[in-house]
This record gives sequence, C-alpha cells and structure tokens, in this order.
Amino acid sequence: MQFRILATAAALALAPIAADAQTRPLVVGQGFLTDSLDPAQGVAGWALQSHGVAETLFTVDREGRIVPNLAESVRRDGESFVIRLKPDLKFADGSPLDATALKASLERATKENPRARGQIGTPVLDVLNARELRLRPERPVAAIESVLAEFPLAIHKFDGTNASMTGPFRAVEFKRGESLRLEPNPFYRDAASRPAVTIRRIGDAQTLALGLESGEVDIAFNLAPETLPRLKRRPELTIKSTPVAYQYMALLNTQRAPFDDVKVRQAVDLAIDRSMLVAAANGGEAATGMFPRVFPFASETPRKFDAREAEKLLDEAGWKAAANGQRMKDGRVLEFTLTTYPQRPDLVTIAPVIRANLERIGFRVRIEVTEAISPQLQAKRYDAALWAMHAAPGGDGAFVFEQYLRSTSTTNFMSFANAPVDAALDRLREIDAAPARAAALKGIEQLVFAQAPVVYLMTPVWHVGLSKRASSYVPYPSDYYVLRADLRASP
Amino acid sequence: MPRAAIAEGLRALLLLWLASLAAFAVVRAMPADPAVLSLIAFGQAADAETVEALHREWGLDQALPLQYAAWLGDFLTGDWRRSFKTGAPILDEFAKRLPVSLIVGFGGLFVALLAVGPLARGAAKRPNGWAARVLDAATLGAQAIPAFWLGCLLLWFFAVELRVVDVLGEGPARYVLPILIVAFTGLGPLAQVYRAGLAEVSRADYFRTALAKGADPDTALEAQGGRYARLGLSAALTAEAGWVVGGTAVVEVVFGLPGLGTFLVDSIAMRDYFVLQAYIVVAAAWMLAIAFVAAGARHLLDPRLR
Repeated sequence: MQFRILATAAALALAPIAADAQTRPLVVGQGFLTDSLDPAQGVAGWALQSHGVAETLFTVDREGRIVPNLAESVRRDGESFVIRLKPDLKFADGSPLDATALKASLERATKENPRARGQIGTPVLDVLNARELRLRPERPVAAIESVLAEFPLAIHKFDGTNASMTGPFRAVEFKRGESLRLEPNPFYRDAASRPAVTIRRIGDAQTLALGLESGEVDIAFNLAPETLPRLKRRPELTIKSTPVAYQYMALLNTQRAPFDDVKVRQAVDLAIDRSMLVAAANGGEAATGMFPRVFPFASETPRKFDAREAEKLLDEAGWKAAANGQRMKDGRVLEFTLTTYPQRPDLVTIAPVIRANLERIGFRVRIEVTEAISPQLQAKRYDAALWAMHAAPGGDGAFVFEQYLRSTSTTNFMSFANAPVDAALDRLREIDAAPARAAALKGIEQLVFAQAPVVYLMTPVWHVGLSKRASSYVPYPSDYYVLRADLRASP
Repeated sequence: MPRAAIAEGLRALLLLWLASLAAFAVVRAMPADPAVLSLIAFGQAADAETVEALHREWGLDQALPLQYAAWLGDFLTGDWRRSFKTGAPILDEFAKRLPVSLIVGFGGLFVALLAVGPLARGAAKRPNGWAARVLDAATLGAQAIPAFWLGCLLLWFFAVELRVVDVLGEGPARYVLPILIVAFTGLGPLAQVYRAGLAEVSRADYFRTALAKGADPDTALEAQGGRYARLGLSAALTAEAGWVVGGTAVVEVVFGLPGLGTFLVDSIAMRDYFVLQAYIVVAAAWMLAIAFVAAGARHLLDPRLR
C-alpha cells in the first residue's frame, strides 16, 4: 500500500516533466543568433533566413542550384527584369505578399541597407499586376536570380515598428545575444506539423556538446570534431555529418617572398596531400578547386599531389636543398609563416599537417594562430593564411572570383593581379545562361590554377548532433538555412 | 577640503578626457576597415560603392578630428551611437550587459572574500598546516588552470553527470558556477596578500609581547594585525575589482552569459569602433571609481592618512 502511494506520488510528480518533454519547443544550439528582427538592418537578413523566419525570392537548393522560392520566375526585359511571384503568398501576419508588397519590401531594403544597394543599387520598380513587378537595377546585373537570393533582399513587410516575413517560422520572443523563440508561421503550408523552436546562442563548442549531452539541446549545430567520439558513445544521440558549401584554402601573399614567385606557389599546391588533411579534420573531401563539389560549376578532379614535381619546381626557382634538407637561395632560407584562426577549429587542426607536408620538401614553416584574421588579411600582413569561406553564397560562383581574385577588388588579399583572369571576369558579366556561366567559371578556375595565388585544400563536413526528438533533422550544406520548412519533432 | 575635492574632480575629468582621446586614437589605429570586415564576414561584395555607403552610414567618411568631436559630443549627451554589428544602441547594450558582468565579477569576489579570512588566518598561524596547503594549491591552480577548462569541467560534472544544474540555465541559478569560477581565480591572490599581512604582524615584537601577556593567538592576531592585513587586502581587491568590467569574458562565453565581455570579444573582431571606444572610456571611469572607493577604504583603515 505504502509502495503504491509512493509510486502514485512519483508518477504525479514526474507527469509534468514527461508532458513537458513532449510539448516543449525543440532547442537549437548554435554559435550565432540574429541581432535584430528587422531583416533590413545590417546582416539580420542573413541570420533570419538561417533561422527559418525570412525568405528571399530565389534560394539555393541542396545541390547548390539557384531555384525559385517566393518568385515563380524572373525574365529579362531589356535592362529590366520582370519578377513573377508564386500565387497566394502571405506574410506571417496574414497579409498578402503581392507585387505591391514586394515593391515596398525592395524599396525599404535598398533605402535602409547599403548592403542591399550593393546588390541592385536604388532600382526603379513598377508594379505590372498583382503578381508581377518590373525591376530595373541601377547598374547592370548578370545573374539576377543569384542577386535575388541574397539575404539583404529578404522579403518583408514593415509596419513602422515590426517586420513580418514569410518563412516557415515567426518570432515570438527575442532576447538579443541569448535566444529566439519561434512558433510555426500559421500562414505557411503544413504549419501544424512543425514544432515550436527555441534557438539558443552558445558561443563555446564544448558547452554546445555538453548541452546536447545534458538533454537540453535537441539540435547542436556545427559540433567541434574533438567532441564527436564522446557524443557518439551516447545511444540517445544521433550525429549527422554533411559536406558543406564552405571551402578551406590557403591564401598566398603574392607581394611577399617566397610567394612572389609563381613556381613556389605551384610547388605548395603540389606538395600538399589533401587526404591527410581530410583524415586530420575527421571528415571532408579533398578540394577540386574553389568550389565544393555540390556546385554544378565545380571542377571534378581533386588537386594533384606530387611532392617530387614540387621539389623540381623549387629547384627551378633556385631554392636548392642543403644537406639537412632545408632549401636556401642567395643565403636566404625558404621559410614563411602560416597564419590561421581559432574560430574555425578545423584550420588549426590541419595547419601542422600542411607544415609537415611542406617541410618534407624543404620549407621551414612557422604556424601563427590569431584571434582576428580578417584585419590581418585586409592589411596584407601575412605570408600565407588558412581561410574558410562560403564559395557561392548566392548560388553563383562569379562572386568569389570577383571578390578575391579580380585585381582591383578591395578583398583581393593575395594582391593577385592577372590580366587574363580580369578579362575572363569581364566576359562573365555578359553571360546570363547558367550552363554557359558554369563553363566560363571552369575556364577562370584553370587560369587561377596556373598562377596558384590560392591553394585549395578541402571541403569540410559539418557535424550536427541530434536528440531523439530531432533525429529526423537533415542538415543542409550551409549555415544559411539551418531551420527549414521540413523540420519535424518526433514524439 | 572642498578645494581638494574640486581638484580631484578636475583631475578625474582630465583623465577621462585623455582616456576618450586615447580610446579614439587606439581604436582607429587598428588595422582593417570595419565596413570591409563586416561585408566579407557575411559573404558580401566589398566593392567601393558599398564600403563608402557603410562609411557614410556610420559617419566614418569625415576627417578624424571631426569624427572625434562628433562622437565625444554624442557620447557626453548620452548617444553612444549604434553598434556596427548589431545595429542596436550601444548605451542600451551596455545597460543590459553590464549588470551581468557585475553580478559574475562582484559575486565571485564576494564569495572569494568569504573564504579569504579563515584561509589566510589559518595559513598565517601554521605555515605548514592544511589551510596553507589549500591556499597554495588554490593560488597555483588559479594560475595554472584555464578558466574555460574549469568551466567545461564543472558543467560536465554538474550538468551532464549529476544533472543538478542546467548548461543553458536561466534565472539566478545560472550564475552559480560562473561566480564560483571567478571566486576560485580571485581567492589565491587576495588570500595570499591577507596572509602575508597577518604573517608579518605575527613576527612582530608587539605581537609576541601580546602572546607573552597571555592573549589568545587568534584574537591577538586579528586585533593586532587585522587592520594592517585588510589594508593590503584593499589594494589587492582594487586590482581584482578593476577587471570586473569586461574581464569575465571567458566565463561568459563558456556559460553563455550575455555580459559585457562577450560583447567586447565580438566587437574587437569586427572593429566595432563605437563599442570599443565606449568600452575604454567606461573601463577608465570604472577604474577611477574603484580607485576612489579604495582611497576611501584606505583612509578608514590607515590612521596615518587621516
């Protein structure tokens, strides 16, 4: 009798906990959180798109293709473009997203946010009918679908205080720097089948793993590789790993010795065994070029590894091996500093492997870890730097070439100047069709390979840890779309 | 006295003005352009037009002296401008985040102070006793064990293994472990200073005389050396309290606390000029305030200063 009373009391005490476990929102732990609920402010559009709150007219699918999203289509009309919206679209407040609302959204984005003006300037916008809008960019645009997939042009309706968007979730409670509570957007298809979600900003990789282990986090986004063995031993957790649209590379400062010599740069490219990098990073793929293989314009063949040929190139460049294997030229040692940064732990992991590969052919390499690498790159105060970046954020490969390899670009950190590459980029601006652009991009890639201002290393995998409730979650190959309409919670 | 107070006030104002000037100069001398950094961080084109537009929006297109004058004027009238990164008013961010850092920093110092007296007295009385060993171990541990490692270890033990606290806890409970870590790192330096003061007194002739007269050692040590040791402790406490504003960043990051430290770390990487300038001035004001309080404490403790 006493036991029964105790059991009943225990059941009653635990009942709310069990019910809470069923109904509580899915908790997503990740290192970033929006700074604002207004997509026209700063880079909030990017984070809100990643959180499943904001959407753009076009988007990038799992295979890296640009596909229509809110737009049904876009067609060129002279120097303008006609955007046709999908039917029956609604904002999260229930009001319609028609051509008039689209015009208001684009006008506000380009007025408020210089980043949006960077895409299309201040455009001329004309409503043609309920679903069609003519957009005339201030300056010529080639790949308009890619531009319309960029986060500064996230579609929203602003009532003077709050912004309403069109994504599968809408914000309920926002604590800046801490958390964002979301509920399914009732005006988005299948709203009832999506769970409520709380996104928690967790800045430390170990804390993220501990949150998953303690059962407080259901989706731990981008786990550090060193936490995986521990997490994989827990049967209640699932770890899913997926190659992402980011690429790891080594930028070589072409203004500094020894990388002012193309043969030395080519030797570095040849001397790195990418399979060792993949093994060190606990997963990933050897790089084929600037773009991960998910993109249709990526090169197919992994970069060549041939240490002997690399040594030959160094010999030709005048760097002769001494008795101890160290290469010298005119009394100078073949040496450089390899700079990396801790925000991408994989890069710190692979740096010693790169050093080992290069020291085998006679380089002397120092490794430097800096907290803030971007300022150092911008000031060009580095010899070689490991760098990770999204290779095609808008689904179009021209962007990275324009930004990093055009001789006049402010973000050409390598000080790379090559007339054929610039000319090829000029021609690319005139090409609209996706297959022709892909072919042109591959051509540019070959020109860059020959000069080797960048050594492409590997495509990483990202690891997502899942609780049982979130075990059906399928990671996307990008942090641009962490929460999507297909999110479900298991009972 | 009023004249001295006025002079002190003017000196403080002069120091704050120099701090603002130094803040502006140092921050602007940092390499890299925040507009470019902000654009490349989110995969955007850092073309000249967009960079210029951001400069205009942030007021960075003016000559440096004009920028400084405008910023200082705004700062003094309560407009600390907006963060480049978050777009939010900086004063609001400070107002929201400073209490978090203060709770962690002062909470840790308070807990450390609770343990300082018993440990330091025990160690001063018996240099080879258990209190001395604990104190030496705590001092060495605080120097040798990184705060982030200790934080992760405590989270793993209490949140994952015992499940008595939450990793992502909310409410006052979330401050317990961070405060304990700050207390652990502060305990050694504070207690060692207090111990040294007491030990010095315990070797003094007047203390031995007190013992010879039959005084209880504990009571005599406190009576003869307490005030002297607290004088040293106040100096050590001044140094420890100085870093409360922004110095708890590691603990804040590990425990996901939205304090000033995490904000500062993000702002440095993004060259968030106005945040960094505001922080340096606030930190200088904080140090001045702490120095002022410490001077008051010394005045009370040291009769020679009266």
